[in-house]
Amino acid sequence: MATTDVKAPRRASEAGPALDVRTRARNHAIASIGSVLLVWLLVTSVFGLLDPETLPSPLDVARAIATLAVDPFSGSTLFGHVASSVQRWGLGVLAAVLIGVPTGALLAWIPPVRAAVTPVFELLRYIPPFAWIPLAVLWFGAGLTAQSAVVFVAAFPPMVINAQLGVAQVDPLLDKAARALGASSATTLARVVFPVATPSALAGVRIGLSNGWMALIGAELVVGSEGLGFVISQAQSNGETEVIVAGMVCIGVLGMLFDLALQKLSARALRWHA
Amino acid sequence: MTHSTANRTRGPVTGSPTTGNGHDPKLEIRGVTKNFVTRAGEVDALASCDLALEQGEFLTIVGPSGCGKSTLMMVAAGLDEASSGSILVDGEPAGGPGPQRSVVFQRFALFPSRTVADNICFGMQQARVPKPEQAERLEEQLTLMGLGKFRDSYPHELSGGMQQRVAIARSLVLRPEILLMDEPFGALDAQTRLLLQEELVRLRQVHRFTVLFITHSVEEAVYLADRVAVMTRRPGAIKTVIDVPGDAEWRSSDIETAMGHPEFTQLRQRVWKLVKEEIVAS
Repeated sequence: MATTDVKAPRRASEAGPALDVRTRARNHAIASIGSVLLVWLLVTSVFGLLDPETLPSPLDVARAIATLAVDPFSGSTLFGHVASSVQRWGLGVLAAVLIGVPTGALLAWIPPVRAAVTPVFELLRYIPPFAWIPLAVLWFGAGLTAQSAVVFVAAFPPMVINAQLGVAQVDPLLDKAARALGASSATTLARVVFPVATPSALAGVRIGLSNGWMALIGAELVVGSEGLGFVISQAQSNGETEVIVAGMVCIGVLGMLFDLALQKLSARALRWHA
Repeated sequence: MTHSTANRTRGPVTGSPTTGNGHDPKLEIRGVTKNFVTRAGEVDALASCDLALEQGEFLTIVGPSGCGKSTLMMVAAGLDEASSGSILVDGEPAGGPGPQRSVVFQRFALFPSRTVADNICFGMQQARVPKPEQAERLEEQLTLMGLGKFRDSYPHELSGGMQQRVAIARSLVLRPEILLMDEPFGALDAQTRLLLQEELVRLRQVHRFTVLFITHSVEEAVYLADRVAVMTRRPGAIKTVIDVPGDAEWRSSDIETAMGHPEFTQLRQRVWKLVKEEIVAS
């Protein structure tokens, strides 16, 4: 058997350069975040262009974070507020994944269901998550459930849409090939269609996670007595700018960490993906 | 051209066309028609098609593009339903798709999330072949198709030629009685194509499967076949079936040498003329 039309396996040959690319990306990230911090430090502490009530220096913010970590602020320490936000967010997005991804797959696989559900879904999707807050509070009270429901509403649509897209875009030829090899419909769906639809479904989960996180912080600004959104709204009432910024930094960093974690997981699950 | 059926134009066949030896044919396409309903109205894809393949026979189908060759193949595979007519295997209605009528597609249709080895084993897993036997048959195919080094590669890491080798191995590993090949080399570059054509001739000497092979290449059709069926333009029907003499001198040579042989050229020109009539007329 001639092997003239053979490409070398990709992984082995590119292990070296791939590492370099990763190191370079990390250096870029450190450099760009470092520059922002430096400019921030210069305009506040060093040159005093902005007074602390307008924008506190990064040093004050770091100090605020350290204080929040040990001294309770509006009822709990920073960890308490983080835990409460993460719990609400986790419950909301978990429900969205468990319901949204199968719904999307079903919509793509069974055209009559799609025809029945899509118009309703399209209508509901244009009601922003925040518009659900009053109703959620009336239904569930101003607590965990209402906040999680808002997260759910924000995270659900991209998960449904991308799962649906993923399944719909699977080449019908693969379905034919699987059936010609003796696979049942259920097997074809589970072992051929779903794996191929996974990258798109995961992209939807990723968007859903960040939508849910943003909606949660928004909801906490207006409702409830715990969480990072609540911290910054309380700090605003108290006029503690450094606590506001400390809260914002925590929100940003946590969101980024969730996203990184998901990307790491996806990369492992999608080793086959080009 | 010594065979009696050479040059014979087949009319619509009524009843069961036997293959000459009185046995039931291995694969029979009997009065198959197909029409689609589209927004533009009803489209006749296939007018009544009849073909009968003897056990171990290699029949190629050529015809103008859009004549319904692939539709006929999908119907023969059980992957598409005929509007009328039937597909028989060993004289019995063939029913739904299954591993005894294995299909090789032009666009390979490998499962992208599975490695080469997992692709090849997919059909055996469905048929619940015992694990040790799966492993044995997998090794056999990897060796036969020269895929040993790529067993853990994913399809996107392979060239087109290698991907089609995997697809062929995925079919052959099921020891099919009938192999349905839908322009299997159509998406490959010229050199790879030549290699795989010769590969297929060799494989056929190992496994005596019955092959229905669609192509738009007249050379390929003549080189590989025991008989060449020419289809009419749409709605497709079998226009003519031409015998390729089994004892022709060029049969034992590779395709380039064969193409230089006057007898081969003559046959190719005859088939091409028949195809051309259909293209010009449409």
